[in-house]
Formats: sequence, C-alpha cells, structure tokens
Amino acid sequence: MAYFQFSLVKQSVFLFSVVAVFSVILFGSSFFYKQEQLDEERAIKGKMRSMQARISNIAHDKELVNTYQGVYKRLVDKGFLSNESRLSWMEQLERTAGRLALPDLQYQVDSQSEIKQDQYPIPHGVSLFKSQLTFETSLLHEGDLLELIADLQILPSGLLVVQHCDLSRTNTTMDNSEKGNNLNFKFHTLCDVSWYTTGEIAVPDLPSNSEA
Amino acid sequence: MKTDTLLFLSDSYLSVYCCAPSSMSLIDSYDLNDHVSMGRFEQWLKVNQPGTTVVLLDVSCEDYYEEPLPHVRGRDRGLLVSRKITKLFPSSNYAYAELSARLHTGRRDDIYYISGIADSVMIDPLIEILANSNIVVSGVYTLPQLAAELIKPIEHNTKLLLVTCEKEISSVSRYSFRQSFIVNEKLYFSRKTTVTSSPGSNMAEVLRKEIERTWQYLNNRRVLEKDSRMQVLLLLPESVSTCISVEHTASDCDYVYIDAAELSQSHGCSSNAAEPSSGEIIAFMLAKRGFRKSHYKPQRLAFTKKHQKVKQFLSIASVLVLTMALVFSGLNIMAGLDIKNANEQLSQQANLMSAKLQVERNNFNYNGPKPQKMQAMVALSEHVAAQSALPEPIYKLVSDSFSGFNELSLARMEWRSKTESENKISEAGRPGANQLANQAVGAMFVVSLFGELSTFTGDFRHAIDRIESLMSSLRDQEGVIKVEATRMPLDIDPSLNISRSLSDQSTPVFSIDVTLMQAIM
Repeated sequence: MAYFQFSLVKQSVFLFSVVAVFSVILFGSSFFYKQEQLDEERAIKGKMRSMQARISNIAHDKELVNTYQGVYKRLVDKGFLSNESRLSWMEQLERTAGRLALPDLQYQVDSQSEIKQDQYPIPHGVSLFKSQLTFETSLLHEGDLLELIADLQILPSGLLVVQHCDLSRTNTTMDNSEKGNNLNFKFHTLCDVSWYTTGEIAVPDLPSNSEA
Repeated sequence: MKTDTLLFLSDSYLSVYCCAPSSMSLIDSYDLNDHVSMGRFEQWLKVNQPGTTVVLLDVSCEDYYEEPLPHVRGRDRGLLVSRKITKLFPSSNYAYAELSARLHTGRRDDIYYISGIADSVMIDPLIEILANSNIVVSGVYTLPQLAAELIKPIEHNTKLLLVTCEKEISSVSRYSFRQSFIVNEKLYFSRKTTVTSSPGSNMAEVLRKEIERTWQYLNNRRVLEKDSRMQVLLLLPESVSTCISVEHTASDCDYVYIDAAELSQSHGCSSNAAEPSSGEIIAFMLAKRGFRKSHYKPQRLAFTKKHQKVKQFLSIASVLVLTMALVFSGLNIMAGLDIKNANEQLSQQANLMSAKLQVERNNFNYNGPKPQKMQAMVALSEHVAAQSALPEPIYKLVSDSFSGFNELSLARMEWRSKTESENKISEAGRPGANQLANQAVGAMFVVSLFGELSTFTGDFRHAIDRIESLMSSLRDQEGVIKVEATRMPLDIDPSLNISRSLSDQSTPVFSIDVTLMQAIM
C-alpha cells in the first residue's frame, strides 16, 4: 500500500492550485496597480519639488543680483577682475610725488604671486594674485601719506591693501633743487602695500563664465 | 469534539449509533458473518456519508499483559514500550500500552498494562469498508479500557471485577459476559465468555463458575490480597440479574448490582432504550467526551485519515488564501484609488506651479555674470580689503587718544595688519571670541606707538600714571581690543633689576602696542 496516493487528493490540489493562482494574480494586479499610483505620485512630487527649487533659485538669484550687482560692478571698474597695471602705479606715484613735492620717493614692486586657496575664500575657477609695492619717502606733513595712498587707491588697477606703514618724526631739511627752496621734511614713512587682482582658471569640465 | 456516528463492533455484529449531545440512538445492527448485511452497511455509508466516526471494539480475541519495564523517560520510554508491543503483538496494528504504576522496591520498574489484538482478521473487513468509503475515523477504542471510566460514578474498591452482559442480536438465548478486572482505575485483565440460556443449562451457575475461575486466576497471579474478598460489580440486564440473584455468590466475592439506567443517567445519557447496555453507555460516554487518544491505530484508516486531512487542509487553505487575497487586493485597490485621486490634485498643483515657474523665468531676464559668482567675488574682495590698514583710522585713533596728553609726544608709529592665521590665533585666546566670530569677520591691526616725555622732571610715578592714563584712553576708543605697554620710562617689574644714574638726563621713552579690530559684515 502506498504511503500517499496523489489521485485521492488530486481534485483538492487542483482546486487549491486554481484558487492560489487566482489569488496571486488578483493580489499581484492590485499590488502593481497601487505601486503604479505610488510611482506616479512620486514622479509628480519630484517634479513639483524640482519646480519649487527652480522658483526658489530664481528668487534667490534675483536677491543676489539686487544685492551684489552694484558692488560687483564697482569691483570690475576698480580692476579687481582684470590684469594688474604696474605702469599706471608708477605713473601715479611720480605724479603724486611731483604734486606733493616728495623728491626722495623710492619704490619697489615685487613680482606677482598667486595666493593660496586656504588664505582667502577664493571661488572655484578663480585665481587671486598679489603684487607688493614698497615705497619710502620723507613727508612734509603726515597728511601727505593719506593723499599718497588715496591717489593709489583711485587707480582702476586692482584692490589696494595697505599691509604695513611706519611713520616717524624727523627734523630733516632737504634741498629741493627743482623748486629751488629748502623744505622742512618732518616725517619719514615706509609702507608696504599690495595690489590684488583676480583671474579665471580655464576648467574644461565646467562651462566657462564667458558672460562675466 | 462532537461525534456524529459511533460504530460498535462485537464478535458477531456491528451496531451503528447516532450520537446527540445528551442522547444516543441505535440506527441499525449488521451481522458481521452475513455478506448481505455488510453490503447493506456499506450502502448505508455511501448514502449517509457520516462525518466524524468512532469505532468501539468489544471483541473476545483481545489479550492483556502486565509488563515491568525499566523506568526511563522521553524517547527511550517510547522505544522501549514500542519494542515490547512488537514482541507481544508482532505485525499487528492493534496494541495499546498504559502506564499503571511504579514499583517501590528493587529496580523500581514501571508497570505497564498492555492490551492488543494479535489476530485482527475479524476487524479488518470493517476497516476495509470504512477506508474504501473514505470515512474519517477519529479513533478506534476498545471497550474494556473504558470500563474503569464507566464505573466512576459508583463507589468501588481499588481492585474490583466488573461483569457486564450483552445480549447477542443473532441469537435470543445467547449472552456475552465480559469480566474486567480493574486495579487503580486501570484495566488489568478482561475476559469475554458467551453463555447460552436454555432450559437445560443454569446460566447463573455458569456465570458463578466463570467468576470463580477468574478469582482463581487472579489469586494465582497474586493480584488479590490474601484473605481478602473480591468486589464484583454486576452491570447486567434485569432479566439476567433476577436469574443470578437466586444463585449463591461465588466464593470470596461480594456482589454489587448496578442499575444500568441510573448509571446511564449519571453519565448524562438519556438513551431511547429502557435498559441501556454497558456497551451503549460506554459508546455514549465516548461520543460525549471530547478528544481522547485512540487506543488502536490501524494503518489502513491512518492512510485514509491522512488523505482526508490533506483534503481538509487544502480546502481550508483555499478559503483562507482566497479570503486573504480578496481582502488585501481590496485594500490595495482602495489605497490605489485614493492615491489616484490625490495624484489628480497634485497634477493640478504641478500645472499651476509650472505656470508660475514660466512667469518667474520670463520676469527674470538677466544676462550678467552668475549671481553666485558675483556673491563669491564680492565676499573675496571684502576679505581682501578688510586686511588693509589704511592710515585714516590710525590717525584718528592717535589724535583722539593723545588729546590732553601734551607732555607725551609721539615720535614714531608703525601699524600693520595681522594675517588671517594671526587673527585666528588671537581670537581663539579671547573670551567671547566665538560669538564675535559668528557675527562678523574681523580684520585686526596692530599699531605700535613710540613716544617720549618731552617735559620730564624726574617724577617717574607721575610719568607712569600719565602713560597708563593714555593707555586707558586708548582702550576707550572704538574698535580697540587690546592695549599693551611694551616699554615704560622705568620698568618696575619686580622680577627685573633696576639700575639708573641720577646724572642721566636723557628723555624717557615709552612704547605701546594697540590691537584694533575693524569689523566687516
């Protein structure tokens, strides 16, 4: 006698199989229907999030433009985004020295160097350059230093930064042969100033900001 | 478990009972030796297809053994009992073992009462019919094993002999007497004898002799205590009781007559028969009580039962699976419809948002450099410019501070901006530096002032007081965060040596370092 005869339960097995298959199809269909709706919901929400982000970005860009456009334009005018112009500096120094009667003005301009990324928040794709100018002169009055630096500041040749100045009182009388009179220079100054300019780095992977 | 149908099988006939919660009725009886009668039974099964069915055996070919077995537990016990059963009843499906007691001395063995039917040729045709008809038999029980339960409502000794009587259907004058000896509610021994009641034979005397034979057998096996009398419970039809009561009792036995009707009522049975037999009462008892372990398990019925169980399982599983599928599918569809409705609303919102985005794009007609780039370049320029130590604020600081200090003249001043790293180090050591750093980015400058006391008269105390007043004045200026004297006219630090000549007429000098912070937002 066989331990188990399939023929005796064949009908029940068939019925169960039919029910099981039908149940699986029914449940699977309903599940996929629900999943389809969920996917659609996810897609719509994603699209809405994306649009919301774009709207926010536009609003943010508007705000940035309103806030920084003027300042940026001034920086452009100032020459911060252009190449340095050493010749302008020298010409300006000579003009100012002539106007203020500073015959012993001496200056030295060091070679331009690139500033490291970690010293300043330098944006990606931008290089920051610095050229140091050291000048030394006797002054008739301490206000001459203000005028000398102010004349350098108005030059559209980068951002001027005074890093160090030494102003000392002296009692030196100098013969100004050009003017033909003796001038009493009461002060002597030695200053280190730097000109900062920026340049763009060509990044092949990123679109260049040609519109700037 | 409510039993619907009970098949009572004796040596010569099969009775079919229908059981209700409080009553039991005989449906029909069939002669086992008559093929026509059994064919009728088979036909009845096919027509009625009874549900749960119980088989109760009352056959004379049942054997009983008392076997001591070592006291073991778990699987070993099962194997031990199984081996003993196989030894006593080889190749038989009808065997039952029950633990009776445990010896108190020696190896302290367990005592098992084992009953079984060595030759089941008489039962097999019925089992075959049941199997072929796909009848689910919940259990096959033997009547003697239920004898102890039968007499529970009656007060009795721990060791007693129960004598029951069934009138044979095939013959009017034949009675079957079953003697069951019960020890501590467990069947020790049972014997069935058939007695013919005829004018030439004295049934009472025959029964008495049978009881005496049983007593003798038990006494020989030392089951009965010495000099004790054996209690004999007689559950007999009234006619037989009347017949026996005139005969004197068996020696060393005390007879107790049991009223079958009262016993039946005490078991909760209201049988249709006026005088129910012991078999009928046990059958009702069996049917009324719920699940109990089957005494015998014929393989042929197990085969059918297994298939029936599979069928039942598949039917239940089908219903469950279908129900679950319907429920979960319904839930999914409802949830899907809800999401679909929500999606339609979301789509409308998305369309509105898309229109708004288009409007914003049209309104924002900007062709300059990227706003983020402008922001970054402006921030960079601010950081760079913040490092510029322009002379105007330095002049203003000195001018404001030296006002009122005519005796102190400034000979030289030097200023420089601190680098970013110097700033960080300085700010880290300053209380509240973190809060300030959160508010603004600061550029720090150090201004070194070198001066002299032009009108010095030799009063160092006054000179030092004036210089300290100047330092205090410097501290009060806006943006000054630190003022430190680096040189005084006379260094009065206790840790230093001082030497000076009073003839020294040089002008005393001093120097002060002022740290400034210019905040840029």
